[in-house]
Amino acid sequence: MPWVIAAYAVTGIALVGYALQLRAARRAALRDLQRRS
Amino acid sequence: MVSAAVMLSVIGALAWLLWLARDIGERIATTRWVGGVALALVPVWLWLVAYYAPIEAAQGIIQKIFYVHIPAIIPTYFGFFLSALGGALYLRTRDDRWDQLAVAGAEVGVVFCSLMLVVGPIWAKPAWGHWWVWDLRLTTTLMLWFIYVAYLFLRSFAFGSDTAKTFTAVYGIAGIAAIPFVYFAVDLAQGSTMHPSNPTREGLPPEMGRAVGVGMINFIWIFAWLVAKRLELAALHAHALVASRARSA
Amino acid sequence: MSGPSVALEVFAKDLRLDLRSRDRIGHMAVFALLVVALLSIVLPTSKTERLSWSPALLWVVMLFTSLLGLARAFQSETEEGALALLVQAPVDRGWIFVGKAGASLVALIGVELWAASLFTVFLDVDWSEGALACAAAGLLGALGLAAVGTLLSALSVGVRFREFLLPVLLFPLVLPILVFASSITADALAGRDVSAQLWWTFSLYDWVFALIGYFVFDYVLED
Repeated sequence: MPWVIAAYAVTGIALVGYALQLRAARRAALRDLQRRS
Repeated sequence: MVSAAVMLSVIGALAWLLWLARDIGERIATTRWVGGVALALVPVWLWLVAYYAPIEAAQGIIQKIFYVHIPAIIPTYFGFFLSALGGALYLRTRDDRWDQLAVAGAEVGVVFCSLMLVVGPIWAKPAWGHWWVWDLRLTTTLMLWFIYVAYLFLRSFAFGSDTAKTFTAVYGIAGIAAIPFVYFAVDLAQGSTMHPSNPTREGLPPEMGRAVGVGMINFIWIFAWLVAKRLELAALHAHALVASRARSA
Repeated sequence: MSGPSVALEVFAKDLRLDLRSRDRIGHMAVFALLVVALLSIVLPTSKTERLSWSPALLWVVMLFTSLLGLARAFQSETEEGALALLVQAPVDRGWIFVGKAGASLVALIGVELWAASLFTVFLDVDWSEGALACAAAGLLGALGLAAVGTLLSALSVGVRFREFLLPVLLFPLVLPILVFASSITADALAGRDVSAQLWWTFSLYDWVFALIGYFVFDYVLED
Protein backbone atom coordinates (compact mmCIF):
# COMPACT_ATOMS: atom_id res chain seq x y z
CA MET A 1 0.00 0.00 0.00
CA PRO A 2 2.73 2.49 0.80
CA TRP A 3 4.20 1.62 -2.58
CA VAL A 4 1.01 2.74 -4.25
CA ILE A 5 1.04 6.00 -2.35
CA ALA A 6 4.68 6.48 -3.24
CA ALA A 7 4.02 5.98 -6.92
CA TYR A 8 1.18 8.48 -7.08
CA ALA A 9 2.98 10.91 -4.79
CA VAL A 10 6.15 10.87 -6.89
CA THR A 11 4.10 11.50 -10.00
CA GLY A 12 2.18 14.34 -8.42
CA ILE A 13 5.25 15.96 -6.95
CA ALA A 14 7.18 15.70 -10.18
CA LEU A 15 4.44 17.22 -12.31
CA VAL A 16 3.47 19.92 -9.86
CA GLY A 17 7.12 20.64 -9.16
CA TYR A 18 7.87 21.06 -12.82
CA ALA A 19 4.86 23.31 -13.29
CA LEU A 20 5.97 25.46 -10.36
CA GLN A 21 9.46 25.65 -11.76
CA LEU A 22 8.04 26.84 -15.07
CA ARG A 23 6.02 29.45 -13.28
CA ALA A 24 9.04 30.74 -11.41
CA ALA A 25 11.07 30.87 -14.60
CA ARG A 26 8.24 32.68 -16.33
CA ARG A 27 8.11 35.33 -13.63
CA ALA A 28 11.87 35.76 -13.80
CA ALA A 29 11.70 36.11 -17.57
CA LEU A 30 8.92 38.70 -17.34
CA ARG A 31 10.85 40.74 -14.79
CA ASP A 32 13.87 40.47 -17.01
CA LEU A 33 11.92 41.70 -20.01
CA GLN A 34 10.56 44.67 -18.10
CA ARG A 35 14.03 45.57 -17.06
CA ARG A 36 15.27 45.57 -20.59
CA SER A 37 12.42 47.48 -22.17
CA MET B 1 -15.01 4.00 -26.96
CA VAL B 2 -12.41 4.99 -24.44
CA SER B 3 -9.57 4.25 -26.83
CA ALA B 4 -11.25 6.42 -29.42
CA ALA B 5 -11.30 9.21 -26.87
CA VAL B 6 -7.61 8.66 -26.19
CA MET B 7 -6.77 8.88 -29.88
CA LEU B 8 -8.89 11.99 -30.24
CA SER B 9 -7.05 13.51 -27.32
CA VAL B 10 -3.70 12.83 -28.91
CA ILE B 11 -4.76 14.33 -32.22
CA GLY B 12 -6.47 17.23 -30.51
CA ALA B 13 -3.49 17.98 -28.31
CA LEU B 14 -1.13 17.81 -31.26
CA ALA B 15 -3.28 20.12 -33.33
CA TRP B 16 -3.62 22.57 -30.47
CA LEU B 17 0.10 22.62 -29.76
CA LEU B 18 0.99 23.13 -33.40
CA TRP B 19 -1.51 25.96 -33.61
CA LEU B 20 -0.28 27.39 -30.35
CA ALA B 21 3.38 27.34 -31.37
CA ARG B 22 2.79 29.61 -34.30
CA ASP B 23 1.65 32.54 -32.20
CA ILE B 24 2.18 31.73 -28.57
CA GLY B 25 1.95 35.35 -27.53
CA GLU B 26 -1.61 35.85 -28.69
CA ARG B 27 -2.92 32.35 -28.25
CA ILE B 28 -1.65 31.58 -24.77
CA ALA B 29 -5.06 32.40 -23.29
CA THR B 30 -6.43 29.10 -24.52
CA THR B 31 -4.08 27.38 -22.10
CA ARG B 32 -6.41 28.27 -19.29
CA TRP B 33 -9.13 26.04 -20.71
CA VAL B 34 -6.82 23.14 -21.26
CA GLY B 35 -5.41 23.51 -17.78
CA GLY B 36 -8.91 23.56 -16.37
CA VAL B 37 -9.91 20.39 -18.20
CA ALA B 38 -6.74 18.60 -17.15
CA LEU B 39 -7.19 19.64 -13.56
CA ALA B 40 -10.87 18.65 -13.53
CA LEU B 41 -10.02 15.21 -14.84
CA VAL B 42 -7.61 14.47 -12.01
CA PRO B 43 -10.19 13.74 -9.28
CA VAL B 44 -12.29 11.79 -11.81
CA TRP B 45 -9.32 9.65 -12.70
CA LEU B 46 -8.31 9.14 -9.07
CA TRP B 47 -11.81 8.15 -8.11
CA LEU B 48 -11.90 5.65 -10.95
CA VAL B 49 -8.60 4.22 -9.80
CA ALA B 50 -9.57 4.00 -6.16
CA TYR B 51 -13.19 2.87 -6.32
CA TYR B 52 -14.27 1.96 -9.80
CA ALA B 53 -11.45 -0.29 -10.94
CA PRO B 54 -11.54 -3.67 -9.25
CA ILE B 55 -8.63 -4.93 -7.22
CA GLU B 56 -6.64 -7.33 -9.29
CA ALA B 57 -6.48 -10.88 -8.04
CA ALA B 58 -2.81 -11.69 -8.48
CA GLN B 59 -1.04 -8.53 -7.36
CA GLY B 60 -3.59 -7.05 -5.01
CA ILE B 61 -3.54 -3.38 -4.29
CA ILE B 62 -0.06 -2.94 -5.77
CA GLN B 63 -1.55 -3.33 -9.19
CA LYS B 64 -3.12 0.10 -8.78
CA ILE B 65 0.22 1.62 -9.69
CA PHE B 66 -0.58 0.43 -13.17
CA TYR B 67 -3.02 3.34 -13.51
CA VAL B 68 -0.35 5.96 -12.98
CA HIS B 69 2.43 4.17 -14.83
CA ILE B 70 0.75 3.40 -18.12
CA PRO B 71 -0.68 6.87 -18.78
CA ALA B 72 2.86 8.26 -18.74
CA ILE B 73 3.75 6.30 -21.87
CA ILE B 74 1.95 8.48 -24.38
CA PRO B 75 3.45 11.78 -23.17
CA THR B 76 6.90 10.18 -23.19
CA TYR B 77 6.66 9.35 -26.87
CA PHE B 78 4.59 12.40 -27.68
CA GLY B 79 7.38 14.63 -26.38
CA PHE B 80 9.85 12.88 -28.58
CA PHE B 81 7.63 13.21 -31.57
CA LEU B 82 7.10 16.93 -30.97
CA SER B 83 10.82 17.38 -30.61
CA ALA B 84 11.61 15.64 -33.87
CA LEU B 85 8.76 17.33 -35.71
CA GLY B 86 9.67 20.76 -34.39
CA GLY B 87 13.28 20.15 -35.32
CA ALA B 88 12.44 19.07 -38.84
CA LEU B 89 10.16 22.06 -39.34
CA TYR B 90 12.84 24.34 -37.96
CA LEU B 91 15.40 22.98 -40.42
CA ARG B 92 12.97 23.56 -43.25
CA THR B 93 11.72 27.01 -42.36
CA ARG B 94 14.41 28.38 -40.03
CA ASP B 95 11.51 29.67 -37.98
CA ASP B 96 12.41 29.88 -34.30
CA ARG B 97 8.89 29.01 -33.24
CA TRP B 98 9.39 25.43 -34.33
CA ASP B 99 12.64 25.22 -32.46
CA GLN B 100 10.79 26.41 -29.36
CA LEU B 101 8.26 23.65 -29.83
CA ALA B 102 11.06 21.11 -30.17
CA VAL B 103 12.70 22.18 -26.93
CA ALA B 104 9.39 22.26 -25.07
CA GLY B 105 8.56 18.79 -26.30
CA ALA B 106 11.93 17.44 -25.23
CA GLU B 107 11.86 18.96 -21.78
CA VAL B 108 8.34 17.92 -20.86
CA GLY B 109 8.89 14.55 -22.50
CA VAL B 110 11.95 13.84 -20.40
CA VAL B 111 9.94 14.60 -17.26
CA PHE B 112 7.42 11.92 -18.15
CA CYS B 113 10.13 9.54 -19.28
CA SER B 114 11.93 9.95 -15.97
CA LEU B 115 8.66 9.37 -14.18
CA MET B 116 8.22 6.07 -15.97
CA LEU B 117 11.70 5.00 -14.95
CA VAL B 118 11.00 5.85 -11.31
CA VAL B 119 7.43 4.59 -11.01
CA GLY B 120 8.23 1.41 -12.91
CA PRO B 121 10.65 0.13 -10.27
CA ILE B 122 8.31 1.30 -7.49
CA TRP B 123 5.82 -1.09 -9.01
CA ALA B 124 8.27 -3.81 -9.91
CA LYS B 125 9.83 -4.27 -6.50
CA PRO B 126 6.69 -5.21 -4.57
CA ALA B 127 5.05 -6.90 -7.53
CA TRP B 128 7.90 -9.04 -8.85
CA GLY B 129 10.67 -8.73 -6.29
CA HIS B 130 13.18 -6.83 -8.40
CA TRP B 131 13.80 -3.12 -8.64
CA TRP B 132 14.90 -3.39 -12.21
CA VAL B 133 14.70 -5.94 -14.98
CA TRP B 134 16.27 -5.70 -18.37
CA ASP B 135 13.11 -6.41 -20.23
CA LEU B 136 11.95 -4.90 -23.47
CA ARG B 137 9.76 -2.05 -22.26
CA LEU B 138 11.90 -0.87 -19.40
CA THR B 139 15.11 -1.06 -21.42
CA THR B 140 13.74 0.85 -24.38
CA THR B 141 12.33 3.46 -22.04
CA LEU B 142 15.80 3.79 -20.52
CA MET B 143 17.34 4.18 -23.99
CA LEU B 144 14.74 6.78 -24.83
CA TRP B 145 15.71 8.61 -21.68
CA PHE B 146 19.37 8.54 -22.69
CA ILE B 147 18.51 10.04 -26.07
CA TYR B 148 16.43 12.74 -24.40
CA VAL B 149 19.24 13.55 -22.00
CA ALA B 150 21.81 13.64 -24.81
CA TYR B 151 19.55 16.06 -26.68
CA LEU B 152 19.25 18.34 -23.67
CA PHE B 153 22.99 18.24 -22.98
CA LEU B 154 23.72 19.12 -26.59
CA ARG B 155 21.29 21.98 -26.32
CA SER B 156 22.81 23.36 -23.16
CA PHE B 157 26.42 22.94 -24.23
CA ALA B 158 25.89 24.64 -27.55
CA PHE B 159 24.81 27.84 -25.85
CA GLY B 160 21.43 28.34 -27.44
CA SER B 161 22.92 29.93 -30.50
CA ASP B 162 21.57 29.23 -33.96
CA THR B 163 24.03 26.39 -34.22
CA ALA B 164 22.46 24.81 -31.15
CA LYS B 165 19.05 24.92 -32.76
CA THR B 166 20.27 23.28 -35.91
CA PHE B 167 22.28 20.66 -34.09
CA THR B 168 19.51 19.65 -31.73
CA ALA B 169 17.03 19.56 -34.60
CA VAL B 170 19.28 17.10 -36.40
CA TYR B 171 19.81 15.03 -33.28
CA GLY B 172 16.09 14.91 -32.63
CA ILE B 173 15.57 13.48 -36.09
CA ALA B 174 18.42 10.99 -35.69
CA GLY B 175 17.04 10.04 -32.30
CA ILE B 176 13.55 9.30 -33.46
CA ALA B 177 14.90 7.35 -36.43
CA ALA B 178 16.91 5.20 -34.05
CA ILE B 179 14.02 4.28 -31.79
CA PRO B 180 12.44 1.48 -33.83
CA PHE B 181 15.89 -0.06 -34.28
CA VAL B 182 16.61 0.23 -30.58
CA TYR B 183 13.32 -1.50 -29.88
CA PHE B 184 14.17 -4.31 -32.27
CA ALA B 185 17.71 -4.57 -30.89
CA VAL B 186 16.63 -4.78 -27.27
CA ASP B 187 14.03 -7.37 -28.18
CA LEU B 188 16.74 -9.39 -29.88
CA ALA B 189 19.15 -9.04 -27.00
CA GLN B 190 16.70 -9.95 -24.28
CA GLY B 191 14.97 -12.96 -25.75
CA SER B 192 12.29 -13.43 -23.16
CA THR B 193 10.64 -10.60 -21.32
CA MET B 194 9.59 -10.30 -17.73
CA HIS B 195 7.40 -7.30 -18.29
CA PRO B 196 3.73 -8.07 -18.05
CA SER B 197 2.49 -8.49 -21.56
CA ASN B 198 0.20 -5.80 -22.78
CA PRO B 199 -2.87 -6.32 -20.65
CA THR B 200 -5.28 -4.84 -23.15
CA ARG B 201 -4.35 -7.55 -25.56
CA GLU B 202 -4.94 -10.15 -22.93
CA GLY B 203 -8.35 -8.79 -22.26
CA LEU B 204 -8.40 -6.22 -19.51
CA PRO B 205 -11.63 -6.05 -17.57
CA PRO B 206 -13.58 -3.09 -18.96
CA GLU B 207 -13.50 -1.20 -15.67
CA MET B 208 -9.76 -1.32 -15.65
CA GLY B 209 -9.64 -0.32 -19.28
CA ARG B 210 -11.76 2.73 -18.62
CA ALA B 211 -9.69 3.78 -15.63
CA VAL B 212 -6.49 3.52 -17.66
CA GLY B 213 -8.12 5.30 -20.57
CA VAL B 214 -9.21 8.23 -18.48
CA GLY B 215 -5.74 8.33 -16.96
CA MET B 216 -4.25 8.46 -20.44
CA ILE B 217 -6.52 11.29 -21.50
CA ASN B 218 -5.74 13.11 -18.30
CA PHE B 219 -2.00 12.80 -18.77
CA ILE B 220 -2.18 13.82 -22.43
CA TRP B 221 -3.79 17.12 -21.50
CA ILE B 222 -1.48 17.67 -18.56
CA PHE B 223 1.38 17.09 -20.96
CA ALA B 224 -0.10 19.49 -23.49
CA TRP B 225 -0.61 22.16 -20.86
CA LEU B 226 2.98 21.79 -19.63
CA VAL B 227 4.31 22.01 -23.18
CA ALA B 228 2.24 25.16 -23.71
CA LYS B 229 3.69 26.71 -20.58
CA ARG B 230 7.19 25.76 -21.62
CA LEU B 231 6.54 27.23 -25.06
CA GLU B 232 5.51 30.47 -23.43
CA LEU B 233 8.74 30.51 -21.49
CA ALA B 234 10.80 29.87 -24.61
CA ALA B 235 9.04 32.71 -26.39
CA LEU B 236 9.73 35.04 -23.46
CA HIS B 237 13.40 34.13 -23.52
CA ALA B 238 13.51 34.78 -27.24
CA HIS B 239 11.94 38.20 -26.75
CA ALA B 240 14.45 39.01 -24.07
CA LEU B 241 17.22 38.13 -26.46
CA VAL B 242 15.72 40.29 -29.18
CA ALA B 243 15.17 43.15 -26.77
CA SER B 244 18.73 43.10 -25.50
CA ARG B 245 20.07 42.88 -29.03
CA ALA B 246 17.92 45.82 -30.06
CA ARG B 247 19.27 47.86 -27.19
CA SER B 248 22.88 47.09 -27.92
CA ALA B 249 22.40 47.73 -31.62
CA MET C 1 32.46 20.03 -59.81
CA SER C 2 30.13 17.14 -59.32
CA GLY C 3 28.90 15.73 -56.02
CA PRO C 4 30.66 12.41 -56.10
CA SER C 5 33.93 14.05 -57.06
CA VAL C 6 33.68 16.33 -54.05
CA ALA C 7 33.08 13.27 -51.92
CA LEU C 8 36.06 11.56 -53.45
CA GLU C 9 38.25 14.58 -52.84
CA VAL C 10 37.26 14.82 -49.19
CA PHE C 11 37.69 11.07 -48.81
CA ALA C 12 41.13 11.04 -50.41
CA LYS C 13 42.30 14.04 -48.46
CA ASP C 14 41.26 12.54 -45.15
CA LEU C 15 42.83 9.21 -46.00
CA ARG C 16 46.06 10.85 -47.04
CA LEU C 17 46.07 12.76 -43.77
CA ASP C 18 45.48 9.58 -41.82
CA LEU C 19 48.17 7.64 -43.57
CA ARG C 20 50.73 10.39 -43.51
CA SER C 21 50.41 11.54 -39.93
CA ARG C 22 49.30 8.18 -38.57
CA ASP C 23 47.93 10.05 -35.58
CA ARG C 24 44.40 8.87 -35.75
CA ILE C 25 45.08 5.31 -36.84
CA GLY C 26 48.03 4.93 -34.52
CA HIS C 27 46.18 6.15 -31.47
CA MET C 28 43.20 3.95 -32.20
CA ALA C 29 45.43 0.91 -32.68
CA VAL C 30 47.31 1.42 -29.44
CA PHE C 31 44.12 2.09 -27.56
CA ALA C 32 42.52 -1.10 -28.88
CA LEU C 33 45.61 -3.06 -27.95
CA LEU C 34 45.56 -1.66 -24.44
CA VAL C 35 41.91 -2.45 -23.89
CA VAL C 36 42.08 -5.97 -25.27
CA ALA C 37 45.20 -6.70 -23.23
CA LEU C 38 43.50 -5.48 -20.08
CA LEU C 39 40.42 -7.50 -20.80
CA SER C 40 42.43 -10.63 -21.46
CA ILE C 41 43.99 -10.38 -18.04
CA VAL C 42 40.74 -9.68 -16.29
CA LEU C 43 38.40 -12.07 -18.03
CA PRO C 44 37.72 -15.61 -16.83
CA THR C 45 40.08 -18.01 -18.46
CA SER C 46 37.81 -20.82 -19.49
CA LYS C 47 37.51 -20.98 -23.24
CA THR C 48 33.75 -21.35 -23.38
CA GLU C 49 33.27 -18.34 -21.17
CA ARG C 50 35.58 -16.24 -23.30
CA LEU C 51 33.83 -17.35 -26.42
CA SER C 52 30.44 -16.35 -25.08
CA TRP C 53 31.60 -12.84 -24.17
CA SER C 54 33.93 -12.20 -27.10
CA PRO C 55 31.48 -11.06 -29.75
CA ALA C 56 29.92 -8.45 -27.50
CA LEU C 57 33.32 -7.46 -26.13
CA LEU C 58 34.76 -7.00 -29.58
CA TRP C 59 32.06 -4.51 -30.37
CA VAL C 60 32.43 -2.69 -27.08
CA VAL C 61 36.13 -2.32 -27.86
CA MET C 62 35.18 -1.09 -31.33
CA LEU C 63 32.79 1.42 -29.85
CA PHE C 64 35.30 3.01 -27.52
CA THR C 65 38.08 2.95 -30.06
CA SER C 66 35.90 4.54 -32.71
CA LEU C 67 35.21 7.42 -30.34
CA LEU C 68 38.85 8.34 -30.60
CA GLY C 69 38.76 8.37 -34.36
CA LEU C 70 35.42 10.10 -34.71
CA ALA C 71 36.35 12.97 -32.47
CA ARG C 72 39.09 13.76 -34.94
CA ALA C 73 36.87 13.71 -37.98
CA PHE C 74 36.39 17.44 -38.07
CA GLN C 75 39.31 18.55 -36.03
CA SER C 76 42.35 19.37 -38.10
CA GLU C 77 43.25 23.01 -38.54
CA THR C 78 43.48 22.89 -42.26
CA GLU C 79 39.94 21.67 -41.93
CA GLU C 80 38.59 25.16 -41.48
CA GLY C 81 39.99 26.52 -44.70
CA ALA C 82 39.47 23.46 -46.78
CA LEU C 83 35.96 22.89 -45.53
CA ALA C 84 34.98 26.50 -46.10
CA LEU C 85 36.10 26.16 -49.70
CA LEU C 86 34.21 22.95 -50.21
CA VAL C 87 31.08 24.36 -48.66
CA GLN C 88 30.97 26.95 -51.38
CA ALA C 89 30.93 24.34 -54.10
CA PRO C 90 27.53 24.24 -55.82
CA VAL C 91 26.86 20.69 -54.84
CA ASP C 92 24.83 18.94 -52.23
CA ARG C 93 26.88 19.19 -49.05
CA GLY C 94 25.73 15.70 -48.32
CA TRP C 95 28.61 14.59 -50.51
CA ILE C 96 31.03 16.02 -47.99
CA PHE C 97 29.37 13.77 -45.46
CA VAL C 98 29.88 10.82 -47.79
CA GLY C 99 33.56 11.60 -48.16
CA LYS C 100 34.12 12.07 -44.44
CA ALA C 101 32.15 9.00 -43.49
CA GLY C 102 34.01 7.01 -46.11
CA ALA C 103 37.36 7.95 -44.61
CA SER C 104 36.11 7.02 -41.15
CA LEU C 105 34.83 3.77 -42.56
CA VAL C 106 38.27 2.83 -43.83
CA ALA C 107 39.81 3.66 -40.47
CA LEU C 108 37.16 1.65 -38.65
CA ILE C 109 37.60 -1.38 -40.85
CA GLY C 110 41.30 -1.20 -40.19
CA VAL C 111 40.72 -1.04 -36.45
CA GLU C 112 38.24 -3.90 -36.68
CA LEU C 113 40.68 -6.20 -38.42
CA TRP C 114 43.31 -5.20 -35.89
CA ALA C 115 40.99 -5.82 -32.93
CA ALA C 116 39.84 -9.14 -34.33
CA SER C 117 43.44 -10.31 -34.65
CA LEU C 118 44.11 -9.16 -31.10
CA PHE C 119 41.21 -11.25 -29.93
CA THR C 120 42.67 -14.24 -31.75
CA VAL C 121 46.08 -13.71 -30.23
CA PHE C 122 45.10 -12.82 -26.68
CA LEU C 123 41.80 -14.54 -26.23
CA ASP C 124 42.15 -17.53 -28.52
CA VAL C 125 39.12 -16.61 -30.55
CA ASP C 126 38.90 -18.47 -33.82
CA TRP C 127 37.00 -16.37 -36.31
CA SER C 128 37.21 -18.90 -39.11
CA GLU C 129 34.16 -20.75 -37.86
CA GLY C 130 31.77 -18.26 -39.43
CA ALA C 131 34.22 -16.00 -41.15
CA LEU C 132 31.92 -14.74 -43.87
CA ALA C 133 29.12 -13.82 -41.51
CA CYS C 134 31.56 -12.20 -39.09
CA ALA C 135 33.12 -10.21 -41.90
CA ALA C 136 29.72 -9.09 -43.16
CA ALA C 137 28.66 -8.12 -39.64
CA GLY C 138 31.92 -6.26 -39.29
CA LEU C 139 31.33 -4.35 -42.49
CA LEU C 140 27.76 -3.44 -41.60
CA GLY C 141 28.86 -2.43 -38.13
CA ALA C 142 31.66 -0.26 -39.46
CA LEU C 143 29.28 1.36 -41.94
CA GLY C 144 26.82 2.17 -39.19
CA LEU C 145 29.45 3.54 -36.85
CA ALA C 146 30.95 5.60 -39.65
CA ALA C 147 27.60 7.07 -40.67
CA VAL C 148 26.23 7.87 -37.23
CA GLY C 149 29.64 8.78 -35.85
CA THR C 150 30.49 11.20 -38.62
CA LEU C 151 27.12 12.87 -38.30
CA LEU C 152 27.39 13.27 -34.54
CA SER C 153 31.00 14.33 -34.76
CA ALA C 154 29.86 17.19 -36.98
CA LEU C 155 27.05 17.94 -34.53
CA SER C 156 29.47 18.46 -31.70
CA VAL C 157 32.04 20.66 -33.40
CA GLY C 158 32.68 23.75 -31.36
CA VAL C 159 30.43 22.57 -28.59
CA ARG C 160 31.54 22.59 -24.99
CA PHE C 161 32.57 19.40 -23.24
CA ARG C 162 32.87 17.55 -26.50
CA GLU C 163 34.75 14.58 -24.96
CA PHE C 164 31.72 14.00 -22.77
CA LEU C 165 29.07 14.93 -25.28
CA LEU C 166 30.12 12.80 -28.22
CA PRO C 167 29.81 9.47 -26.37
CA VAL C 168 26.59 10.60 -24.75
CA LEU C 169 25.14 11.44 -28.15
CA LEU C 170 26.56 8.37 -29.80
CA PHE C 171 25.94 5.45 -27.48
CA PRO C 172 22.15 5.37 -27.43
CA LEU C 173 21.95 5.69 -31.19
CA VAL C 174 24.46 2.94 -31.91
CA LEU C 175 23.14 0.41 -29.43
CA PRO C 176 21.44 -1.38 -32.33
CA ILE C 177 24.80 -1.74 -34.08
CA LEU C 178 26.29 -3.31 -31.00
CA VAL C 179 23.42 -5.71 -30.58
CA PHE C 180 23.09 -6.67 -34.24
CA ALA C 181 26.79 -7.13 -34.86
CA SER C 182 27.54 -9.09 -31.70
CA SER C 183 24.43 -11.20 -32.18
CA ILE C 184 25.44 -12.15 -35.71
CA THR C 185 29.02 -12.76 -34.65
CA ALA C 186 27.92 -14.93 -31.73
CA ASP C 187 25.62 -16.94 -33.97
CA ALA C 188 28.29 -17.33 -36.61
CA LEU C 189 30.91 -18.52 -34.13
CA ALA C 190 28.49 -21.03 -32.70
CA GLY C 191 27.60 -22.29 -36.12
CA ARG C 192 24.01 -21.11 -35.91
CA ASP C 193 22.11 -19.60 -38.81
CA VAL C 194 21.60 -15.90 -38.79
CA SER C 195 18.04 -14.81 -39.48
CA ALA C 196 17.41 -12.94 -42.70
CA GLN C 197 15.35 -10.42 -40.79
CA LEU C 198 18.39 -9.48 -38.77
CA TRP C 199 20.50 -8.91 -41.89
CA TRP C 200 17.78 -6.79 -43.42
CA THR C 201 17.24 -4.74 -40.30
CA PHE C 202 20.95 -4.15 -39.86
CA SER C 203 21.32 -3.06 -43.47
CA LEU C 204 18.24 -0.88 -43.15
CA TYR C 205 19.72 0.82 -40.11
CA ASP C 206 22.91 1.64 -42.00
CA TRP C 207 20.95 2.85 -44.98
CA VAL C 208 18.65 5.05 -42.89
CA PHE C 209 21.49 6.78 -41.15
CA ALA C 210 23.54 7.17 -44.28
CA LEU C 211 20.54 8.90 -45.82
CA ILE C 212 19.93 11.06 -42.78
CA GLY C 213 23.57 12.08 -42.74
CA TYR C 214 23.52 12.89 -46.41
CA PHE C 215 20.34 14.95 -46.39
CA VAL C 216 20.94 16.74 -43.16
CA PHE C 217 24.52 17.81 -43.77
CA ASP C 218 23.39 20.80 -45.76
CA TYR C 219 21.94 22.23 -42.59
CA VAL C 220 24.76 21.08 -40.35
CA LEU C 221 27.45 22.75 -42.37
CA GLU C 222 25.76 26.08 -42.73
CA ASP C 223 27.88 27.34 -39.87
